[in-house]
Amino acid sequence: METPWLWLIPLLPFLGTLLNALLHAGVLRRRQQERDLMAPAVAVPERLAGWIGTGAVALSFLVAVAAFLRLKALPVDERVLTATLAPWIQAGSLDLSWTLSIDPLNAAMMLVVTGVGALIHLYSIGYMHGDKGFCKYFSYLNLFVGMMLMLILSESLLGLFLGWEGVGLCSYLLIGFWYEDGEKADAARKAFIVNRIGDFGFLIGMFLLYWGGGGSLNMSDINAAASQGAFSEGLATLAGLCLFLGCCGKSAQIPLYVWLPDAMAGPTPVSALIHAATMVTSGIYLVARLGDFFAFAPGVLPVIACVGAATALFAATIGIAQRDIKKVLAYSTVSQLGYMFLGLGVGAFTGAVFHLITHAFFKALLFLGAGSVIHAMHHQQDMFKMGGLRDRIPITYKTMLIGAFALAGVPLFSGFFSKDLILFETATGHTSPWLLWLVGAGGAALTATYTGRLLALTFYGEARFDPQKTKVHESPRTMTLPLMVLAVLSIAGGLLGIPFIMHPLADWLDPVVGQATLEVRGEHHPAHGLEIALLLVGSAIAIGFLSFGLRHYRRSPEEQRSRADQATGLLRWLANAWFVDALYALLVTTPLKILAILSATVDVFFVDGTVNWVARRSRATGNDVRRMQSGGANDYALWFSLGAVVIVVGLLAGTR
Amino acid sequence: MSAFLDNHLLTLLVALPLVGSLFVLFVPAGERWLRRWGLAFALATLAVALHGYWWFDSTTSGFQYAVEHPWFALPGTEATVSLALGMDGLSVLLVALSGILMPLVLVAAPGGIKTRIREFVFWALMMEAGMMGVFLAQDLVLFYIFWEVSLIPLYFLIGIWGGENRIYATVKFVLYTLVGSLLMLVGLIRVALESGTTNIPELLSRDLSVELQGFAFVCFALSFLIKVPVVPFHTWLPDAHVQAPTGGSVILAGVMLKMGTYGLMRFGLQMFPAAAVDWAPVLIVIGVVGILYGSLLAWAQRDLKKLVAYSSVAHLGFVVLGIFAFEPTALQGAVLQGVNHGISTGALFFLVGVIYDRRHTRQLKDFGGLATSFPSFAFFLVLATLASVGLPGTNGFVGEFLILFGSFPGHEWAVAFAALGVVLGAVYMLGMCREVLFGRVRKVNRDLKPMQIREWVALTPLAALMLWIGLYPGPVLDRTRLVCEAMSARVQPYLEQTEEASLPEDSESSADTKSNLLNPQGMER
Amino acid sequence: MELGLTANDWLLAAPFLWLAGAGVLVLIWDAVRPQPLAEGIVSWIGLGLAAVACLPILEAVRTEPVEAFSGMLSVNVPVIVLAILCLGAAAFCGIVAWRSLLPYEGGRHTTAFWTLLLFSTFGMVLTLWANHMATLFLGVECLSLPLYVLVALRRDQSDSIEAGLKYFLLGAFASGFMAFGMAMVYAATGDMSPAAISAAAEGSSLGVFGVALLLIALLFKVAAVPFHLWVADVYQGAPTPVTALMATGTKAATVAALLRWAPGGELMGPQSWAMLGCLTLLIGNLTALNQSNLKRMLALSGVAHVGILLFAFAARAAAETAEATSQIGDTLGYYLVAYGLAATAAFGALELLERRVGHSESASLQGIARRQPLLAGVLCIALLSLAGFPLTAGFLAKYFVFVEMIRHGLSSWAVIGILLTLFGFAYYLKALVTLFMQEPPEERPSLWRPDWVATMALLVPTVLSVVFGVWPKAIQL
Repeated sequence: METPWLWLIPLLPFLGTLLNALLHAGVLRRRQQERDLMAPAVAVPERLAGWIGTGAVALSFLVAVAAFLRLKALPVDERVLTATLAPWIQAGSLDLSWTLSIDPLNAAMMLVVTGVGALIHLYSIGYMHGDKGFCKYFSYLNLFVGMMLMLILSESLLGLFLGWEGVGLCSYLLIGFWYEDGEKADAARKAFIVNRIGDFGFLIGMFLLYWGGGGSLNMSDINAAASQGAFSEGLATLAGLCLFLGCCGKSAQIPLYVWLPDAMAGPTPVSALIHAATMVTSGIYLVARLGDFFAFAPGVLPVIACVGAATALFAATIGIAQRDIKKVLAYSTVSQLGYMFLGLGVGAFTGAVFHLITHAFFKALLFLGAGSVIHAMHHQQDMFKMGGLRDRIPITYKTMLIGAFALAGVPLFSGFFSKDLILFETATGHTSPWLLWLVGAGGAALTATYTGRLLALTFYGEARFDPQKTKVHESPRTMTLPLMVLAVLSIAGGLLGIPFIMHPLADWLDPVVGQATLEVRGEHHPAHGLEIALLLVGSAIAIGFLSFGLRHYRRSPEEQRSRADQATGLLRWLANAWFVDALYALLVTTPLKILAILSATVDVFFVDGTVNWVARRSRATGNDVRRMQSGGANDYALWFSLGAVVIVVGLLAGTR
Repeated sequence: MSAFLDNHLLTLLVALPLVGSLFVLFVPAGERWLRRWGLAFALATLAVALHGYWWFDSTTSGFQYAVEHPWFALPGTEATVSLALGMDGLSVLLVALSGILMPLVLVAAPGGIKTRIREFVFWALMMEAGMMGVFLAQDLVLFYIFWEVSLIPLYFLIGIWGGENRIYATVKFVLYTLVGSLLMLVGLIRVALESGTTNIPELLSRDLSVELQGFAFVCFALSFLIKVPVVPFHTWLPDAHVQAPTGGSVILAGVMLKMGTYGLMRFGLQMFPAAAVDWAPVLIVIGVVGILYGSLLAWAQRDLKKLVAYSSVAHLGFVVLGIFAFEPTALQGAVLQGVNHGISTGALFFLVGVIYDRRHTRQLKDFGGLATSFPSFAFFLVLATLASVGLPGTNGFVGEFLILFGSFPGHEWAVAFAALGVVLGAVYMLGMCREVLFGRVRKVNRDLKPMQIREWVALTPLAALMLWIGLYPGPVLDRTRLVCEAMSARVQPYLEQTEEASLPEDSESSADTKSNLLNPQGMER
Repeated sequence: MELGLTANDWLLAAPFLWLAGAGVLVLIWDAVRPQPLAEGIVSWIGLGLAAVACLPILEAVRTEPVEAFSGMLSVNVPVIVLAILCLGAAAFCGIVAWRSLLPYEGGRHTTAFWTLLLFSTFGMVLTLWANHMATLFLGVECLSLPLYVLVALRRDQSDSIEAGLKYFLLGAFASGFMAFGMAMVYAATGDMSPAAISAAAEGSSLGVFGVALLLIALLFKVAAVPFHLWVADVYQGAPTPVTALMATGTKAATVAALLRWAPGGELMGPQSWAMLGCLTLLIGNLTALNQSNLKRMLALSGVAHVGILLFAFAARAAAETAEATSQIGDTLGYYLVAYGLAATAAFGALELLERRVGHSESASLQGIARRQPLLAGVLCIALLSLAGFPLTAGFLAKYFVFVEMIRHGLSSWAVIGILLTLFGFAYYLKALVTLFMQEPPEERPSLWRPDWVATMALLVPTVLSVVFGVWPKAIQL
């Protein structure tokens, strides 16, 4: 159904971007006049920028809700809304326009993005208060939401790619928001470049899909073509793997996850919005959206499952040894994204999306909570320097507790249902089910452990800082309100799918991913016994390891701290993230840089050297030849005679 | 008025700057007024160019607004060299680009050009006349004449107003370019003699003998490849760019290099399709090597301007790839990417000029933290960087994407390597941004003069174009569509001949080997 | 009195009569009442009238060549145009020399200058039109002898005298070759018309030997490698206006003579000619590459131009039809006119600069464009035309020559030749660097009063260079 007003959803945030950019320009102008580069934005533009930014996303959320209701009112198999604005790229056989299309899957995503986005904008008003780039920040954040919506809502892969790279740009700008710190600027650049490597795969995958039989870049067409068997198996596998490389970049999977922990250099709300709730889940969205295609590409899903499981476990091991509260959450995000890919890989599309949504709630909550902690601690992020914050910042504590329970998978919290759905489907999947399940469960145990560790070190025990120097106080209302809303969602999110009782999300998504699920998993065989058993095991793991983590670190934080300071043995490897960054530097970055410098040398000395050699040589020859011109008439006569002899002999010889 | 314009449009495009240059050479006026006069002529040319662009008929692939006057007889033949001008989808964008860049150069010039204004304006307008002529000429000899005429002004621009090492750079630039163009002259003469005409549309409609095409293609293409430039003929470029004054760099990158790619399409492809097919594999390799090697070189540079110069080598590698893939989409991408490169690299060179005027250095290590102290500069630099790395939504993306997309079938590996260049592009361009804009502000970089009005005037149109072409390339792509399809169709018969020739006798099995990964059912593409 | 002269005889004799008449008048005037200005005016009028007298001849030969004096003279369009060029060059030489030569030694040498100039021009026209070995020899000697003196005219300067002496010595050598060669050809064929050359080729080796000697003499006069060595010293040592005359008039006359008298394809094939051309082009360019003196550089660039002219001979040797041969004649004519105009302008401008600076070392001409924009502009256009940049006559001239080469199947030689011209670009561009891009030494006074008459005269070849480059029909022969 053609619904032009859908364009309001992404355009409202873009409008916010523009207005905030203008506000920022005004601030810059004022700074120029006052000759003070560092002056913070004055109160009026700051308040205006905050409300414009938040309002734009909130309005967008309202429109999204309207669109959702509109969609819901349609019959199940006609649930698609489209909106075409204008032609975009029409060249050769390619015909792309600015088209949005909403189906149940991206409707759900759209609600999460705009809803959580609006809350995080609200939170940012408090968090970023007094920052000199306040207006700029909101401009970027609005731009991000707009780009994310383009990513989600676009009908074509290329439109998706626009959003894909667009959110990458915003991520770059926001990670490097405090660019005066060189490390943060480096982190931003790293994020962009690693994502570009993924995008390389995306591009190639797109080409393979188009030229290999898809004949279109519209995702519905590709899905349809795949169902009709337009792709050869080899091609589909290759294309799928290429696309998955893109997903690895954007959704921080092995081997391209390395940018995400560094991305924590950005302001914390950015980490919550971009690097936990929305952008990093784009890869999951892409695979789910192209579910029919991936279902047809049989070689790819097992790879996705294995990479996802490996990432889930691997990142969790690192998370357990981090001191920086945000780093813990970052590795946790990588790990949870691994779960989602694990779900996709075994054909549990619904489960993956379910976990995506609940994760968006509780991880955003955790990040915002961490932000609130950091805010309260005056930008202290080392958990070993916290402790005993429970009573000092009660709202933050309580909401974070809910988030942590959800993350650890404590029963009845949202994360419990979504994670266990994935693990159950893994165990009943077709790719070495029990091995993957074991890896997933191991990851879950680690997750619960580090969650407990985080809580213990942050909130419990004695304060390991000087309360006189560091005045800790609860954050303002603009920050706590989103926390509370997200806490509610972190609990209520589970309602989207409770085993045996209700599964509204699965029903809602069925028109989109049902076919693919069927293709991958075959007919549904109820295995209630197994499901209950796994639920129980999951509960036990969550509760057991959470309490272990809580107790272990609550009891002896000082001992842990000294161990962390010394960091020997395994701990050293874990704390340094298995030295993967160093490995990449050794294997990729440094050789490339050396190659670049080598090329430059070759260019100057050989390629250009040849040119200059020719020039030098000519000049030298010129000087040699010049010697003929001795100035002596007798020499000239000699040459004359020589020439004369040659000509006479030549002509005479010519006639013979 | 409109009828007059339509009839004399192309004549005006060449004549206005030419008359303008002679006018400023002799008019008794002060420096301020000289500059204004120059700007007036450039703007008038721009107005005419835009008129032509606006009313360009995109439903035909032929030449429009054509004018022709017989000039002189080619001695001893029937052929008459004529003053013939015409504009088609290949030239219309480049004409508009030249028209846009020249006023901007004149507006921004006072930043770097402080002496000998009269000569500067003279040479600048002379160059514009030459550039317009190159893109519009409909006669081989006329084309060659404009080709060379556009060379001398830049020789003087670099040689007089350039940097420390300008004389080395400018002589190298001219001599290197001449190697190619002299060979082109030989090829041109042979084509003229053997076909008995020098009229380009006439020649385009003929199928020249394969032997002649082979000879002429080498002569022409070498000239164009040096001008583009592709690896390994690129080493004049960094020298010329680094030594050139800002305006010279902008024009060099913006328009002069496009003459090479234009020539490759107009002659290499349209006039000598058979030879183009033969040489395509080599040229595609050269293009891809250029992308990767140019990127690596750019990455290793410590001088801002050199970095941008080497990035040109990489960008134009894409264009070469797009041209010799012979696919209409890729060709459209190649045409567009030429323009894009003019816009974004032009803007980058303007920006280098902006910062050089203030700091008198171009070393990356001398900057840092400019985002704090010079935010307007940072804004434009980041935007131009993004366009240059081909971020979707900017012009660079549309061009790069179309090239990669269109070239893909049949050149999968080439495209894969070229796409790696997209990654490398981000590496060096963002690395440049990191060093120039981010980090702590140093004391020397704290009190920089804010952007001047003339600098805003020069940069804003380019920034607007980057976004416009990125978001709504329709009006640009429409104008190139038919001509690119025609070009592709022109090559097709020869392409098929080569394929047939390379297939084994047993056509049955060869059909199987043909159905590669991309084309399982041997579908019609 | 019945002289037995036909109308054609009178027609062709007219220019000679005017030149000789003017020369004699100047001598008489000097004997009666020396007055430099009047002598100059008489000479110019003589040159002018001679040029005017060429116009009816031009009309007459439009359709077919005209012969006179029982075949001793024969003219076609190119040689008449070249004759006009020679006359123009002489007039130009006079104007430019006016201020620099006349004050010298109290103007005592003006008479000598004017008469020698007129007689030398007489010789040039005769050389151009000669269709018989006797007239050719007469023309060449008539051309050369006054020039020996003109070159050495500045007796106070040692290099001028040295140049004159060298020129004389080597020139005498060449004259001997010429006379001897003519004799042998006559002995072998009994004919002294150009047809004898091809006849000799088929006959005995005596005839071939004669042809070779004649060829050597002419190659010396046109300064082809390896007979070019005198050029640099003589051009540099001669007073610059005389250099301009030599570069233009002498070159035009001798090259045209070479075209008429050189052996054709039957004796010397296109490959040999092309080889000779390449060698001349290469050596000329390489030698010119590193000259620090602009005048010397221009002299050697003239050698390189001869190389390109020899390419046209190669094409002629390959040409099969008479039509093609005459076409090549036209091309050569165009080339000589284009080169002559540019060389005249360049040497003329150099003369005016030299007068201020004292010499033509490029080191002292740095940044002259800022002091003398007009002269620098003239030099710029002249150099671009010599280099062969489009929109100047020099480009079309080269273009036409290469067209002839390629037309007659010498593509690979054309490629080599055209790449060799690249060296030429190198030094022309270097000269432009000197004039425009380097900063002038500080101590130089800012501007000086130009010699307006000479400057205006300079503009004539400069403007013509551009006009013929833009509108070749004006001279398309």
